[in-house]
Amino acid sequence: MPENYLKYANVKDVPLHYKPAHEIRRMIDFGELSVAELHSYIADRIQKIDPALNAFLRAISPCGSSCNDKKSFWSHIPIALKDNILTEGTVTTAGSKILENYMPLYDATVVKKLKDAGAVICGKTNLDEFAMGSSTENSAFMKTKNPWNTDYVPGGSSGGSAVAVAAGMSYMALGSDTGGSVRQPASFCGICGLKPTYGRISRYGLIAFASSLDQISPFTRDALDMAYALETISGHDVKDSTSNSRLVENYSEILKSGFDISKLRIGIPDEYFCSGIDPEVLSCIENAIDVFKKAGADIVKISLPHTKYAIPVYYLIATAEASSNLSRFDGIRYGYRNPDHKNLKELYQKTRDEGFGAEVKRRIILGTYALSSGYYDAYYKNAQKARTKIREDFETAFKKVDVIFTPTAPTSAFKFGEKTKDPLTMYMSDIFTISVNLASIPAISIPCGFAGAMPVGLQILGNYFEEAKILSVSNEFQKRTDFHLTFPNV
Amino acid sequence: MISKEEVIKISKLAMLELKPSEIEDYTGQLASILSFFEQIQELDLKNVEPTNNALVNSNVLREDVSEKSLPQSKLIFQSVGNDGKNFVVPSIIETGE
Repeated sequence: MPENYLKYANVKDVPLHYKPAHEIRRMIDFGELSVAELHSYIADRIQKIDPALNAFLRAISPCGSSCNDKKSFWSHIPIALKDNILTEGTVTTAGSKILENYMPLYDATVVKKLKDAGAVICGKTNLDEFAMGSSTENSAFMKTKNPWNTDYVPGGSSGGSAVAVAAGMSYMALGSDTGGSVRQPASFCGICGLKPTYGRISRYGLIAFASSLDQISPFTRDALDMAYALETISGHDVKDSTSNSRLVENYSEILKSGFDISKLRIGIPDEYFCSGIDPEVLSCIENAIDVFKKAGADIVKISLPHTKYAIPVYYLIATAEASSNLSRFDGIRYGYRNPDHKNLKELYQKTRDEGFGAEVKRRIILGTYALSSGYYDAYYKNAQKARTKIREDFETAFKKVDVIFTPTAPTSAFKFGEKTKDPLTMYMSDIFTISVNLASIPAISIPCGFAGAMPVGLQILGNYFEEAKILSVSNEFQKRTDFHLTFPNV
Repeated sequence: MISKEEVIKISKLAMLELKPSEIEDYTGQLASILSFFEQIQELDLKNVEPTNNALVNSNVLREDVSEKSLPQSKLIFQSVGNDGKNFVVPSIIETGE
């Protein structure tokens, strides 16, 4: 355990900034808290603590905000958005110099849905440039600090959104998860992060990184808030042809009706409990498994034999897709343009060289290489075939078990600069999260303990569209533990 | 194994003008990344179908009718090189001297 932390037995005792959104909702509805009071409290808190944490690229005071006044769950509640999600009239940068002054003319579908539900946007959050990174150190603008210890990274790429929730500056935040960019920072910051099934949430208005893997994903304090977030932003969208038309379930009602753990079959994959895991992380996960064992769940050993190929498969597919998606940034129609060029080709080349950071260029080159003639079959096509093997591993496993438990990351948060010198070391920190994106299945990270003084996340994986099940399992864990009621002392 | 010449060639394909130090760094880094990625080659993938996406298997079509789109009058001002009506770019056809 950290030496300096706050822990509560009851949600009623939790300070206002760390309360879950459902408690804020109850307080507003019962007249215990006024909207003006809430908004000025959050505005003050951001102003007071964010200069030391750098969660927000642009904070927006919720005071005096006009919002849809209808009685919906998120009405008047401050939320934050990763700065790769388009907001009409508010600069959206994707953490890149190339979009430093980019002012979107429309809202992303998720933003429209949240505004329609009355949510108040209290800021745009920092990220690794174009969501490429695992520590938020690749932002072109600033470094976001972990609120549990500011010498440590918050994880990434959605580090700003994770810190906005973890440090009590917003009650929910959206990130995007392409290979773990929401689950890993949720784990590092001690909060919940859910990557839904591919297509559950519209990607319209999300600045694309790797289109077959990207999924907008929320951060919350607990499973019930996650249920409310998911049911608000999910659903088919004609503007995203990959969004799924399957009916959105009433997740919050499902959670409230309870869940019988004694019939649950939990898969424990051998390949995720290998050497290389921090022993303290391992012991947190084992304790979490014990909670379910005591409640009568069946713990089943399983194998996901192609796990070791996930890193190369992911980084080949993701960079190939990125090299294509990022070709649109050419300095012509929007974004930065180099002022000092002799011809069109120079305009393109200089704009892109000056506009993109080192990791983005590295990935564009890797992706272009994987797609180039002579290497396409060996790299890109074989990666897509190996992706099939990884997907089939999960399909086989889910015939035997309901959910799969793994650590979210092999370690807790690392220090600034620890992994920036060698890109491959940084890529390896995604080892437990990327298979989920390759297989398109949903997974959540929930806080389950501490390694030293830093939080550890339990990752719960489910079959396609079984968000209700993994949320229910998370909710049952939180009924029996208090990690979601433990906060950094900031 | 990727060579310096290949990194230069690929960066040109990707419309990136790299500095000599960047070419040096990327060549080393990409070589070690790609050699780690070689392990995919040990899989027998001969009769395996590639997965583009596990859940999206068909094209989505719509009627060919025009719909309201963002106004050109506003979009044009997102470019730093606009003259109020057009995107201004360097000429691509050389004029004969």
